[in-house]
Amino acid sequence: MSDILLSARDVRRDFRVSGGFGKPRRTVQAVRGVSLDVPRGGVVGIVGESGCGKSTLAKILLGLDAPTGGEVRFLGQPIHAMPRAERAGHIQPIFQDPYLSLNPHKRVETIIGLPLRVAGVAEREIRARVGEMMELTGLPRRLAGAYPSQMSGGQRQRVAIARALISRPELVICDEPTSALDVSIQAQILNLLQELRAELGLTYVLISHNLAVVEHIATEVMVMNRGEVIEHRPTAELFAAPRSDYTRMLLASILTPEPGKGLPDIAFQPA
Amino acid sequence: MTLLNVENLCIDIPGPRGTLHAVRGVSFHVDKGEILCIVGESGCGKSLTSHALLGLSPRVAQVEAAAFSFDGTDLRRLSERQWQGLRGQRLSMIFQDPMTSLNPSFTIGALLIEVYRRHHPGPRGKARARAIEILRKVGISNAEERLDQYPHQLSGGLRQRVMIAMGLICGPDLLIADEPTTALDVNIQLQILRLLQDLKRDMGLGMVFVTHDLGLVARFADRVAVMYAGRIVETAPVAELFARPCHPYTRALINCIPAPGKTRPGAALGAIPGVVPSLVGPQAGCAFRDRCAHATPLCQTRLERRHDGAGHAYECHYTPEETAA
Repeated sequence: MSDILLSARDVRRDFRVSGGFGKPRRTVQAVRGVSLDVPRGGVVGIVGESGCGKSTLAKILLGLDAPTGGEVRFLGQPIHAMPRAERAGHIQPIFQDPYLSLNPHKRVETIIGLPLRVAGVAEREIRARVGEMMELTGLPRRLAGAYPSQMSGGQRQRVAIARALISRPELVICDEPTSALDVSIQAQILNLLQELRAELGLTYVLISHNLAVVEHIATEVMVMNRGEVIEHRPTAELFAAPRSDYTRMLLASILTPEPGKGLPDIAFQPA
Repeated sequence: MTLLNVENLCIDIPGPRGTLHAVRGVSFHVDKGEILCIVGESGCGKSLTSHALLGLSPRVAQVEAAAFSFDGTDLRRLSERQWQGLRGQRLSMIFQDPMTSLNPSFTIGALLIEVYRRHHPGPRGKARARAIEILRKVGISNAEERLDQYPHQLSGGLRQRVMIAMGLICGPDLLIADEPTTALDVNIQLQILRLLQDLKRDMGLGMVFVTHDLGLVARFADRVAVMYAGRIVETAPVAELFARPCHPYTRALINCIPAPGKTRPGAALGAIPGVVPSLVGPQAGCAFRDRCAHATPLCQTRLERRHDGAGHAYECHYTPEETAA
Protein backbone atom coordinates (compact mmCIF):
# COMPACT_ATOMS: atom_id res chain seq x y z
CA MET A 1 0.00 0.00 0.00
CA SER A 2 2.77 2.37 0.89
CA ASP A 3 4.49 2.34 -2.49
CA ILE A 4 4.66 5.69 -4.19
CA LEU A 5 3.16 5.85 -7.68
CA LEU A 6 3.95 9.42 -8.54
CA SER A 7 6.35 11.75 -6.87
CA ALA A 8 7.03 15.39 -7.58
CA ARG A 9 10.12 17.10 -6.17
CA ASP A 10 10.41 20.86 -5.88
CA VAL A 11 8.33 21.49 -9.00
CA ARG A 12 8.35 25.07 -10.25
CA ARG A 13 6.62 26.69 -13.18
CA ASP A 14 7.23 30.26 -14.26
CA PHE A 15 5.29 32.02 -16.98
CA ARG A 16 6.58 35.01 -18.89
CA VAL A 17 3.61 37.29 -19.31
CA SER A 18 3.03 40.65 -20.88
CA GLY A 19 3.20 43.44 -18.34
CA GLY A 20 0.64 45.42 -20.33
CA PHE A 21 0.95 47.60 -23.45
CA GLY A 22 4.39 49.15 -23.69
CA LYS A 23 5.56 47.68 -20.41
CA PRO A 24 8.31 45.07 -20.02
CA ARG A 25 7.40 41.42 -19.69
CA ARG A 26 7.34 40.02 -16.20
CA THR A 27 7.48 36.57 -14.66
CA VAL A 28 4.60 34.96 -12.82
CA GLN A 29 5.55 32.07 -10.57
CA ALA A 30 2.47 29.85 -10.86
CA VAL A 31 3.93 26.89 -9.01
CA ARG A 32 6.73 27.51 -6.52
CA GLY A 33 8.52 24.44 -5.32
CA VAL A 34 5.80 21.85 -4.82
CA SER A 35 6.75 18.39 -3.60
CA LEU A 36 4.15 15.68 -3.52
CA ASP A 37 3.96 11.89 -3.17
CA VAL A 38 0.93 10.04 -4.47
CA PRO A 39 0.63 6.61 -2.82
CA ARG A 40 -0.78 3.74 -4.87
CA GLY A 41 -4.50 3.30 -4.24
CA GLY A 42 -4.83 6.69 -2.57
CA VAL A 43 -6.88 9.73 -3.48
CA VAL A 44 -4.89 12.92 -3.11
CA GLY A 45 -7.12 15.98 -3.06
CA ILE A 46 -5.61 19.31 -4.09
CA VAL A 47 -7.57 22.35 -2.95
CA GLY A 48 -7.05 26.07 -3.19
CA GLU A 49 -8.55 29.23 -4.62
CA SER A 50 -8.54 30.07 -8.31
CA GLY A 51 -5.11 31.12 -9.40
CA CYS A 52 -3.29 29.11 -6.73
CA GLY A 53 -1.58 26.98 -9.33
CA LYS A 54 -3.53 23.77 -8.93
CA SER A 55 -4.44 23.38 -12.60
CA THR A 56 -0.90 24.24 -13.70
CA LEU A 57 0.34 21.55 -11.34
CA ALA A 58 -2.18 19.09 -12.82
CA LYS A 59 -0.84 19.73 -16.31
CA ILE A 60 2.69 19.13 -15.09
CA LEU A 61 1.73 15.90 -13.32
CA LEU A 62 0.09 14.76 -16.56
CA GLY A 63 3.23 15.56 -18.49
CA LEU A 64 1.32 18.04 -20.68
CA ASP A 65 3.46 20.90 -19.48
CA ALA A 66 7.12 20.86 -18.51
CA PRO A 67 8.15 22.34 -15.17
CA THR A 68 10.64 25.22 -15.13
CA GLY A 69 12.42 23.46 -12.28
CA GLY A 70 12.13 20.24 -10.33
CA GLU A 71 11.12 16.80 -11.46
CA VAL A 72 8.14 14.44 -11.60
CA ARG A 73 8.70 10.69 -11.46
CA PHE A 74 6.26 7.89 -12.11
CA LEU A 75 7.42 4.72 -10.32
CA GLY A 76 10.91 6.18 -10.31
CA GLN A 77 10.95 7.14 -14.03
CA PRO A 78 11.10 10.85 -14.89
CA ILE A 79 7.80 11.40 -16.76
CA HIS A 80 9.02 14.23 -18.92
CA ALA A 81 11.64 11.97 -20.46
CA MET A 82 9.12 9.16 -21.06
CA PRO A 83 7.72 8.66 -24.59
CA ARG A 84 4.27 10.21 -24.80
CA ALA A 85 2.44 6.98 -25.56
CA GLU A 86 4.00 5.23 -22.61
CA ARG A 87 3.17 8.08 -20.26
CA ALA A 88 -0.42 8.14 -21.52
CA GLY A 89 -0.67 4.45 -20.69
CA HIS A 90 0.08 5.21 -17.03
CA ILE A 91 -1.54 8.58 -16.39
CA GLN A 92 -4.82 9.89 -17.79
CA PRO A 93 -6.85 13.06 -17.22
CA ILE A 94 -10.50 13.84 -16.57
CA PHE A 95 -11.22 17.50 -17.14
CA GLN A 96 -13.79 19.85 -15.73
CA ASP A 97 -16.07 20.66 -18.56
CA PRO A 98 -17.47 17.73 -20.53
CA TYR A 99 -18.95 20.29 -22.94
CA LEU A 100 -15.48 21.43 -23.95
CA SER A 101 -13.28 18.38 -23.46
CA LEU A 102 -15.04 16.10 -25.97
CA ASN A 103 -14.64 16.56 -29.72
CA PRO A 104 -18.13 17.52 -30.96
CA HIS A 105 -17.51 16.03 -34.43
CA LYS A 106 -16.73 12.50 -33.23
CA ARG A 107 -19.08 9.77 -32.15
CA VAL A 108 -18.94 8.48 -28.60
CA GLU A 109 -17.33 5.15 -29.55
CA THR A 110 -14.60 6.98 -31.47
CA ILE A 111 -13.92 9.33 -28.56
CA ILE A 112 -13.66 6.53 -26.03
CA GLY A 113 -11.53 4.35 -28.30
CA LEU A 114 -9.04 7.04 -29.31
CA PRO A 115 -6.37 6.32 -26.65
CA LEU A 116 -6.25 2.70 -27.89
CA ARG A 117 -6.13 3.74 -31.54
CA VAL A 118 -3.18 6.00 -30.74
CA ALA A 119 -1.49 3.10 -28.97
CA GLY A 120 -1.95 0.97 -32.12
CA VAL A 121 -4.38 -1.59 -30.72
CA ALA A 122 -6.28 -3.69 -33.31
CA GLU A 123 -9.67 -2.28 -34.35
CA ARG A 124 -11.47 -5.43 -33.26
CA GLU A 125 -10.10 -5.29 -29.74
CA ILE A 126 -10.84 -1.58 -29.54
CA ARG A 127 -14.50 -2.24 -30.26
CA ALA A 128 -14.69 -4.90 -27.55
CA ARG A 129 -12.99 -2.71 -24.98
CA VAL A 130 -15.11 0.33 -25.79
CA GLY A 131 -18.20 -1.80 -25.16
CA GLU A 132 -16.73 -3.06 -21.90
CA MET A 133 -15.83 0.47 -20.80
CA MET A 134 -19.27 1.85 -21.64
CA GLU A 135 -20.86 -0.81 -19.50
CA LEU A 136 -18.48 -0.12 -16.64
CA THR A 137 -19.21 3.60 -16.69
CA GLY A 138 -22.97 3.12 -16.95
CA LEU A 139 -23.43 4.32 -20.53
CA PRO A 140 -26.20 2.58 -22.47
CA ARG A 141 -24.87 0.76 -25.58
CA ARG A 142 -27.28 2.63 -27.86
CA LEU A 143 -25.27 5.82 -27.25
CA ALA A 144 -22.19 4.38 -29.00
CA GLY A 145 -23.10 6.13 -32.26
CA ALA A 146 -24.27 9.37 -30.64
CA TYR A 147 -22.45 12.70 -30.71
CA PRO A 148 -21.60 14.56 -27.48
CA SER A 149 -24.19 17.24 -28.28
CA GLN A 150 -26.95 14.63 -28.03
CA MET A 151 -26.02 13.72 -24.48
CA SER A 152 -26.62 15.20 -21.04
CA GLY A 153 -23.79 16.65 -18.96
CA GLY A 154 -23.64 13.56 -16.74
CA GLN A 155 -23.44 11.24 -19.74
CA ARG A 156 -20.69 13.35 -21.29
CA GLN A 157 -18.65 13.17 -18.11
CA ARG A 158 -19.10 9.39 -18.17
CA VAL A 159 -17.70 9.41 -21.71
CA ALA A 160 -14.70 11.42 -20.46
CA ILE A 161 -14.19 8.89 -17.67
CA ALA A 162 -14.49 5.94 -20.07
CA ARG A 163 -11.91 7.55 -22.35
CA ALA A 164 -9.55 8.11 -19.44
CA LEU A 165 -9.81 4.54 -18.21
CA ILE A 166 -9.77 2.56 -21.46
CA SER A 167 -5.98 2.39 -21.66
CA ARG A 168 -5.99 0.95 -18.12
CA PRO A 169 -3.96 3.70 -16.47
CA GLU A 170 -2.78 3.39 -12.88
CA LEU A 171 -3.24 7.07 -12.11
CA VAL A 172 -6.10 9.38 -13.06
CA ILE A 173 -5.80 13.12 -12.60
CA CYS A 174 -9.24 14.67 -12.20
CA ASP A 175 -9.33 18.44 -12.55
CA GLU A 176 -12.67 19.63 -11.11
CA PRO A 177 -14.50 16.55 -12.44
CA THR A 178 -17.93 17.53 -11.13
CA SER A 179 -17.99 21.31 -10.90
CA ALA A 180 -19.83 21.76 -14.20
CA LEU A 181 -22.55 19.29 -13.17
CA ASP A 182 -25.82 19.44 -11.26
CA VAL A 183 -25.83 18.10 -7.72
CA SER A 184 -27.75 14.93 -8.50
CA ILE A 185 -25.39 14.22 -11.40
CA GLN A 186 -22.38 15.14 -9.28
CA ALA A 187 -23.45 12.45 -6.82
CA GLN A 188 -23.72 9.89 -9.64
CA ILE A 189 -20.26 10.74 -10.95
CA LEU A 190 -18.62 10.72 -7.50
CA ASN A 191 -20.19 7.34 -6.79
CA LEU A 192 -18.95 6.06 -10.15
CA LEU A 193 -15.40 7.29 -9.47
CA GLN A 194 -15.46 5.52 -6.11
CA GLU A 195 -16.75 2.25 -7.59
CA LEU A 196 -14.19 2.31 -10.39
CA ARG A 197 -11.40 2.97 -7.96
CA ALA A 198 -12.33 -0.07 -5.90
CA GLU A 199 -12.92 -2.27 -8.94
CA LEU A 200 -9.84 -1.31 -10.98
CA GLY A 201 -7.46 -0.42 -8.15
CA LEU A 202 -7.04 3.14 -9.41
CA THR A 203 -5.21 6.03 -7.82
CA TYR A 204 -6.61 9.54 -8.14
CA VAL A 205 -5.31 13.05 -7.87
CA LEU A 206 -8.47 15.09 -7.39
CA ILE A 207 -8.31 18.82 -7.93
CA SER A 208 -11.30 20.73 -6.68
CA HIS A 209 -12.39 23.91 -5.05
CA ASN A 210 -15.37 22.09 -3.55
CA LEU A 211 -14.05 21.13 -0.14
CA ALA A 212 -17.07 18.99 0.68
CA VAL A 213 -16.35 16.82 -2.36
CA VAL A 214 -12.69 16.53 -1.41
CA GLU A 215 -13.52 15.63 2.16
CA HIS A 216 -15.88 12.99 0.85
CA ILE A 217 -13.52 11.05 -1.41
CA ALA A 218 -9.90 12.06 -0.76
CA THR A 219 -7.68 10.04 1.57
CA GLU A 220 -5.26 12.91 1.94
CA VAL A 221 -5.48 16.61 1.13
CA MET A 222 -2.92 19.12 -0.05
CA VAL A 223 -3.84 22.79 0.40
CA MET A 224 -2.22 25.24 -2.01
CA ASN A 225 -2.01 29.02 -1.96
CA ARG A 226 -0.08 31.25 -4.33
CA GLY A 227 1.75 28.32 -5.86
CA GLU A 228 2.97 26.87 -2.59
CA VAL A 229 1.90 23.96 -0.45
CA ILE A 230 0.34 25.18 2.78
CA GLU A 231 -0.49 21.82 4.33
CA HIS A 232 -0.55 18.22 3.18
CA ARG A 233 -2.08 15.73 5.61
CA PRO A 234 -4.58 12.86 5.86
CA THR A 235 -8.10 14.14 5.16
CA ALA A 236 -9.72 13.43 8.51
CA GLU A 237 -6.82 15.04 10.38
CA LEU A 238 -6.78 18.14 8.22
CA PHE A 239 -10.50 18.70 8.48
CA ALA A 240 -10.54 18.05 12.22
CA ALA A 241 -7.56 20.23 13.11
CA PRO A 242 -6.19 22.50 10.37
CA ARG A 243 -2.73 23.78 11.22
CA SER A 244 -2.50 26.95 9.18
CA ASP A 245 -4.70 30.04 9.27
CA TYR A 246 -5.22 29.77 5.54
CA THR A 247 -6.65 26.26 5.75
CA ARG A 248 -8.79 27.29 8.71
CA MET A 249 -10.19 30.18 6.66
CA LEU A 250 -10.93 27.86 3.71
CA LEU A 251 -12.67 25.31 5.91
CA ALA A 252 -14.67 27.99 7.69
CA SER A 253 -16.00 29.23 4.35
CA ILE A 254 -17.70 25.93 3.47
CA LEU A 255 -21.45 26.35 3.55
CA THR A 256 -22.66 23.09 5.05
CA PRO A 257 -26.41 22.43 4.81
CA GLU A 258 -27.20 23.39 8.39
CA PRO A 259 -29.98 25.97 8.54
CA GLY A 260 -30.04 28.10 11.65
CA LYS A 261 -26.28 28.44 11.70
CA GLY A 262 -26.31 31.40 9.35
CA LEU A 263 -23.27 32.48 7.39
CA PRO A 264 -19.90 31.68 8.95
CA ASP A 265 -18.35 34.59 10.79
CA ILE A 266 -14.80 35.08 9.61
CA ALA A 267 -12.72 38.11 8.84
CA PHE A 268 -11.66 39.04 5.30
CA GLN A 269 -9.03 41.12 3.70
CA PRO A 270 -10.40 43.22 0.85
CA ALA A 271 -9.18 42.26 -2.60
CA MET B 1 -45.23 43.76 3.27
CA THR B 2 -45.40 41.81 0.04
CA LEU B 3 -42.99 43.21 -2.51
CA LEU B 4 -43.41 40.73 -5.31
CA ASN B 5 -46.38 38.50 -5.94
CA VAL B 6 -46.50 35.90 -8.68
CA GLU B 7 -49.41 33.57 -9.24
CA ASN B 8 -49.61 30.75 -11.70
CA LEU B 9 -46.76 31.91 -13.94
CA CYS B 10 -46.56 29.85 -17.14
CA ILE B 11 -43.87 30.17 -19.78
CA ASP B 12 -44.35 28.29 -23.05
CA ILE B 13 -41.86 28.20 -25.86
CA PRO B 14 -43.28 27.00 -29.20
CA GLY B 15 -40.97 24.77 -31.19
CA PRO B 16 -40.98 22.54 -34.27
CA ARG B 17 -41.66 19.40 -32.21
CA GLY B 18 -44.38 20.94 -30.07
CA THR B 19 -44.62 23.51 -27.33
CA LEU B 20 -42.04 23.41 -24.56
CA HIS B 21 -43.83 23.98 -21.27
CA ALA B 22 -40.78 25.33 -19.50
CA VAL B 23 -42.50 26.91 -16.51
CA ARG B 24 -45.83 25.34 -15.60
CA GLY B 25 -47.80 27.33 -13.06
CA VAL B 26 -45.36 28.77 -10.54
CA SER B 27 -46.62 30.88 -7.61
CA PHE B 28 -44.58 32.65 -4.96
CA HIS B 29 -44.21 35.92 -3.15
CA VAL B 30 -41.32 37.85 -1.64
CA ASP B 31 -41.66 40.23 1.30
CA LYS B 32 -39.56 43.27 2.05
CA GLY B 33 -36.35 42.15 3.72
CA GLU B 34 -36.85 38.52 2.79
CA ILE B 35 -34.61 36.14 0.88
CA LEU B 36 -36.43 33.58 -1.23
CA CYS B 37 -34.09 30.95 -2.65
CA ILE B 38 -35.21 29.06 -5.74
CA VAL B 39 -33.33 25.76 -5.93
CA GLY B 40 -33.31 23.41 -8.83
CA GLU B 41 -31.15 21.70 -11.41
CA SER B 42 -30.40 22.63 -15.02
CA GLY B 43 -33.53 22.89 -17.11
CA CYS B 44 -36.00 23.18 -14.24
CA GLY B 45 -37.07 26.65 -15.37
CA LYS B 46 -35.44 28.66 -12.62
CA SER B 47 -33.53 30.99 -14.93
CA LEU B 48 -36.54 31.56 -17.20
CA THR B 49 -38.59 32.38 -14.11
CA SER B 50 -36.05 34.86 -12.82
CA HIS B 51 -35.72 36.55 -16.20
CA ALA B 52 -39.51 36.82 -16.50
CA LEU B 53 -39.54 38.71 -13.20
CA LEU B 54 -37.67 41.50 -14.98
CA GLY B 55 -39.65 41.38 -18.19
CA LEU B 56 -36.63 39.91 -19.96
CA SER B 57 -38.17 36.73 -21.35
CA PRO B 58 -36.96 35.59 -24.76
CA ARG B 59 -39.09 37.05 -27.54
CA VAL B 60 -40.44 33.66 -28.61
CA ALA B 61 -41.64 32.82 -25.10
CA GLN B 62 -45.32 33.13 -24.22
CA VAL B 63 -45.55 34.37 -20.66
CA GLU B 64 -48.81 34.27 -18.74
CA ALA B 65 -49.68 34.75 -15.11
CA ALA B 66 -52.85 35.03 -13.03
CA ALA B 67 -51.16 37.72 -10.95
CA PHE B 68 -47.78 39.39 -11.34
CA SER B 69 -47.24 42.48 -9.27
CA PHE B 70 -44.39 44.42 -7.72
CA ASP B 71 -45.16 46.73 -4.81
CA GLY B 72 -48.76 47.14 -5.98
CA THR B 73 -47.93 47.70 -9.66
CA ASP B 74 -49.34 45.17 -12.11
CA LEU B 75 -46.27 44.19 -14.12
CA ARG B 76 -48.36 42.50 -16.83
CA ARG B 77 -49.58 45.87 -18.08
CA LEU B 78 -46.23 47.67 -18.23
CA SER B 79 -44.99 49.11 -21.50
CA GLU B 80 -41.35 48.57 -22.43
CA ARG B 81 -40.63 52.17 -21.44
CA GLN B 82 -42.16 51.66 -18.02
CA TRP B 83 -40.13 48.48 -17.58
CA GLN B 84 -36.99 50.44 -18.35
CA GLY B 85 -37.82 52.90 -15.59
CA LEU B 86 -38.21 50.08 -13.10
CA ARG B 87 -35.36 47.81 -14.11
CA GLY B 88 -32.02 48.64 -12.53
CA GLN B 89 -33.75 51.15 -10.26
CA ARG B 90 -36.23 49.48 -7.91
CA LEU B 91 -35.99 46.03 -9.43
CA SER B 92 -32.54 44.85 -10.25
CA MET B 93 -30.73 41.76 -11.41
CA ILE B 94 -27.37 40.10 -11.01
CA PHE B 95 -26.64 37.71 -13.84
CA GLN B 96 -24.76 34.47 -13.64
CA ASP B 97 -21.80 34.90 -15.91
CA PRO B 98 -19.50 37.88 -15.34
CA MET B 99 -17.34 36.87 -18.30
CA THR B 100 -20.09 37.60 -20.83
CA SER B 101 -22.43 40.04 -19.07
CA LEU B 102 -20.08 43.03 -18.94
CA ASN B 103 -19.58 45.03 -22.12
CA PRO B 104 -15.85 44.68 -22.89
CA SER B 105 -15.54 48.02 -24.66
CA PHE B 106 -16.39 50.21 -21.67
CA THR B 107 -14.49 50.81 -18.47
CA ILE B 108 -15.94 49.65 -15.16
CA GLY B 109 -16.58 53.29 -14.30
CA ALA B 110 -18.49 53.97 -17.51
CA LEU B 111 -20.66 50.89 -16.96
CA LEU B 112 -21.50 51.79 -13.37
CA ILE B 113 -22.06 55.49 -14.04
CA GLU B 114 -24.36 54.74 -16.98
CA VAL B 115 -26.66 52.64 -14.80
CA TYR B 116 -26.78 55.29 -12.11
CA ARG B 117 -27.32 58.29 -14.38
CA ARG B 118 -30.01 56.47 -16.34
CA HIS B 119 -32.15 56.70 -13.21
CA HIS B 120 -30.60 59.71 -11.44
CA PRO B 121 -29.90 62.41 -14.01
CA GLY B 122 -27.31 64.79 -12.61
CA PRO B 123 -23.61 65.59 -12.58
CA ARG B 124 -21.13 62.87 -13.51
CA GLY B 125 -19.10 63.62 -10.41
CA LYS B 126 -21.94 62.56 -8.16
CA ALA B 127 -22.44 59.33 -10.09
CA ARG B 128 -18.72 58.63 -9.92
CA ALA B 129 -18.68 59.12 -6.17
CA ARG B 130 -21.59 56.72 -5.86
CA ALA B 131 -19.76 54.19 -8.08
CA ILE B 132 -16.71 54.34 -5.82
CA GLU B 133 -18.87 53.94 -2.74
CA ILE B 134 -20.64 50.86 -4.09
CA LEU B 135 -17.39 49.24 -5.29
CA ARG B 136 -15.98 49.62 -1.77
CA LYS B 137 -19.13 48.03 -0.40
CA VAL B 138 -18.70 44.92 -2.51
CA GLY B 139 -15.18 44.56 -1.17
CA ILE B 140 -13.04 46.20 -3.84
CA SER B 141 -10.40 48.23 -2.04
CA ASN B 142 -8.69 50.38 -4.68
CA ALA B 143 -12.02 51.44 -6.21
CA GLU B 144 -10.85 54.67 -7.89
CA GLU B 145 -8.21 52.79 -9.85
CA ARG B 146 -10.66 50.07 -10.86
CA LEU B 147 -13.07 52.60 -12.36
CA ASP B 148 -10.65 53.25 -15.21
CA GLN B 149 -9.99 49.58 -15.95
CA TYR B 150 -11.72 47.42 -18.54
CA PRO B 151 -13.49 44.16 -17.67
CA HIS B 152 -10.72 42.04 -19.21
CA GLN B 153 -8.21 43.51 -16.77
CA LEU B 154 -10.09 42.08 -13.81
CA SER B 155 -10.16 38.54 -12.44
CA GLY B 156 -13.39 36.55 -12.48
CA GLY B 157 -14.08 37.26 -8.84
CA LEU B 158 -13.62 40.99 -9.28
CA ARG B 159 -15.79 41.02 -12.39
CA GLN B 160 -18.58 39.29 -10.52
CA ARG B 161 -18.29 41.90 -7.78
CA VAL B 162 -18.57 44.62 -10.41
CA MET B 163 -21.74 42.92 -11.69
CA ILE B 164 -23.11 42.93 -8.17
CA ALA B 165 -22.18 46.58 -7.75
CA MET B 166 -24.09 47.40 -10.96
CA GLY B 167 -27.14 45.63 -9.54
CA LEU B 168 -26.94 47.54 -6.27
CA ILE B 169 -25.85 51.00 -7.35
CA CYS B 170 -29.37 52.46 -7.47
CA GLY B 171 -30.36 50.94 -4.15
CA PRO B 172 -33.09 48.58 -5.41
CA ASP B 173 -35.98 47.25 -3.31
CA LEU B 174 -35.87 43.84 -4.90
CA LEU B 175 -32.86 42.02 -6.25
CA ILE B 176 -33.12 39.04 -8.59
CA ALA B 177 -29.87 37.07 -8.49
CA ASP B 178 -29.31 34.14 -10.82
CA GLU B 179 -26.46 32.03 -9.41
CA PRO B 180 -24.38 35.12 -8.67
CA THR B 181 -21.70 33.33 -6.66
CA THR B 182 -21.38 30.00 -8.46
CA ALA B 183 -18.15 30.93 -10.23
CA LEU B 184 -16.48 32.44 -7.16
CA ASP B 185 -14.07 31.03 -4.60
CA VAL B 186 -15.66 30.06 -1.31
CA ASN B 187 -14.32 32.96 0.71
CA ILE B 188 -15.33 35.56 -1.89
CA GLN B 189 -18.74 33.93 -2.13
CA LEU B 190 -19.09 34.26 1.61
CA GLN B 191 -18.10 37.91 1.49
CA ILE B 192 -20.74 38.67 -1.17
CA LEU B 193 -23.43 36.78 0.71
CA ARG B 194 -22.64 38.72 3.85
CA LEU B 195 -22.90 41.99 1.95
CA LEU B 196 -26.31 40.99 0.58
CA GLN B 197 -27.45 40.00 4.05
CA ASP B 198 -26.35 43.38 5.43
CA LEU B 199 -28.34 45.15 2.71
CA LYS B 200 -31.34 43.06 3.57
CA ARG B 201 -31.06 43.97 7.23
CA ASP B 202 -30.22 47.65 6.81
CA MET B 203 -32.30 48.58 3.79
CA GLY B 204 -35.01 45.94 3.74
CA LEU B 205 -33.75 44.57 0.41
CA GLY B 206 -35.92 41.67 -0.79
CA MET B 207 -34.25 38.96 -2.85
CA VAL B 208 -35.04 36.15 -5.22
CA PHE B 209 -31.86 34.11 -5.18
CA VAL B 210 -31.59 31.34 -7.75
CA THR B 211 -29.04 28.64 -6.99
CA HIS B 212 -28.37 24.93 -7.07
CA ASP B 213 -26.18 24.96 -3.97
CA LEU B 214 -28.15 23.53 -1.06
CA GLY B 215 -25.44 24.42 1.44
CA LEU B 216 -25.76 28.08 0.48
CA VAL B 217 -29.56 27.85 0.69
CA ALA B 218 -29.44 26.43 4.20
CA ARG B 219 -27.22 29.22 5.48
CA PHE B 220 -28.63 32.15 3.54
CA ALA B 221 -32.33 31.77 2.69
CA ASP B 222 -35.38 32.72 4.70
CA ARG B 223 -37.69 30.68 2.52
CA VAL B 224 -36.98 28.09 -0.14
CA ALA B 225 -38.83 27.03 -3.28
CA VAL B 226 -37.64 23.77 -4.84
CA MET B 227 -38.25 23.64 -8.59
CA TYR B 228 -38.41 20.54 -10.70
CA ALA B 229 -39.40 20.35 -14.36
CA GLY B 230 -41.06 23.76 -14.41
CA ARG B 231 -43.01 23.54 -11.16
CA ILE B 232 -42.34 24.46 -7.55
CA VAL B 233 -42.65 21.01 -6.00
CA GLU B 234 -42.07 22.16 -2.45
CA THR B 235 -41.83 25.44 -0.61
CA ALA B 236 -41.14 26.06 3.07
CA PRO B 237 -39.24 28.21 5.54
CA VAL B 238 -35.60 27.14 5.35
CA ALA B 239 -35.29 25.38 8.72
CA GLU B 240 -38.55 23.50 8.13
CA LEU B 241 -37.46 22.39 4.66
CA PHE B 242 -34.25 20.81 5.89
CA ALA B 243 -35.81 19.39 9.06
CA ARG B 244 -38.83 17.92 7.29
CA PRO B 245 -38.38 17.67 3.52
CA CYS B 246 -41.69 16.29 2.23
CA HIS B 247 -41.36 15.91 -1.52
CA PRO B 248 -39.37 12.84 -2.60
CA TYR B 249 -37.32 15.06 -4.96
CA THR B 250 -36.33 17.45 -2.18
CA ARG B 251 -35.27 14.54 -0.02
CA ALA B 252 -33.27 12.96 -2.84
CA LEU B 253 -31.57 16.28 -3.56
CA ILE B 254 -30.54 16.73 0.07
CA ASN B 255 -29.12 13.19 0.11
CA CYS B 256 -27.02 13.93 -2.98
CA ILE B 257 -24.69 16.42 -1.39
CA PRO B 258 -21.62 15.41 0.55
CA ALA B 259 -21.84 17.26 3.87
CA PRO B 260 -18.78 17.30 6.11
CA GLY B 261 -19.71 15.76 9.44
CA LYS B 262 -22.92 14.23 8.11
CA THR B 263 -22.19 11.97 5.19
CA ARG B 264 -19.61 9.30 5.87
CA PRO B 265 -16.49 9.91 3.76
CA GLY B 266 -16.21 7.37 0.98
CA ALA B 267 -19.78 6.10 1.35
CA ALA B 268 -22.03 6.16 -1.71
CA LEU B 269 -24.08 9.33 -2.07
CA GLY B 270 -27.79 9.16 -2.77
CA ALA B 271 -27.87 9.66 -6.52
CA ILE B 272 -31.18 10.19 -8.32
CA PRO B 273 -31.61 7.58 -11.06
CA GLY B 274 -32.79 8.57 -14.51
CA VAL B 275 -33.00 11.97 -16.16
CA VAL B 276 -35.32 14.97 -16.17
CA PRO B 277 -38.38 14.30 -18.41
CA SER B 278 -39.00 16.21 -21.62
CA LEU B 279 -41.40 19.11 -21.15
CA VAL B 280 -42.36 19.24 -24.83
CA GLY B 281 -46.04 18.54 -25.49
CA PRO B 282 -48.94 18.12 -23.06
CA GLN B 283 -47.96 17.31 -19.47
CA ALA B 284 -49.96 15.45 -16.84
CA GLY B 285 -49.38 14.23 -13.32
CA CYS B 286 -46.17 14.45 -11.32
CA ALA B 287 -43.05 15.10 -13.42
CA PHE B 288 -40.84 13.30 -10.91
CA ARG B 289 -42.77 9.99 -11.08
CA ASP B 290 -40.31 8.20 -13.38
CA ARG B 291 -37.43 8.80 -10.98
CA CYS B 292 -39.41 8.31 -7.79
CA ALA B 293 -39.33 5.03 -5.86
CA HIS B 294 -42.78 5.65 -4.44
CA ALA B 295 -44.69 6.46 -7.62
CA THR B 296 -48.11 4.85 -8.16
CA PRO B 297 -50.51 4.96 -11.13
CA LEU B 298 -52.19 7.94 -9.49
CA CYS B 299 -49.01 10.00 -10.03
CA GLN B 300 -49.36 9.66 -13.82
CA THR B 301 -52.58 11.53 -14.05
CA ARG B 302 -53.02 13.85 -11.12
CA LEU B 303 -51.12 16.30 -8.98
CA GLU B 304 -51.99 17.05 -5.43
CA ARG B 305 -50.84 20.06 -3.47
CA ARG B 306 -50.70 19.74 0.29
CA HIS B 307 -50.39 22.64 2.75
CA ASP B 308 -49.66 22.56 6.43
CA GLY B 309 -51.03 26.07 6.98
CA ALA B 310 -47.67 27.39 8.22
CA GLY B 311 -46.12 28.10 4.84
CA HIS B 312 -44.97 24.58 4.05
CA ALA B 313 -46.52 23.23 0.86
CA TYR B 314 -45.57 20.35 -1.41
CA GLU B 315 -46.93 18.54 -4.43
CA CYS B 316 -47.25 14.87 -3.69
CA HIS B 317 -50.15 12.50 -3.13
CA TYR B 318 -48.37 10.96 -0.22
CA THR B 319 -47.18 12.23 3.13
CA PRO B 320 -43.47 12.03 3.98
CA GLU B 321 -44.27 9.16 6.34
CA GLU B 322 -45.79 7.24 3.44
CA THR B 323 -42.83 7.91 1.15
CA ALA B 324 -40.11 7.44 3.78
CA ALA B 325 -37.45 5.12 2.40
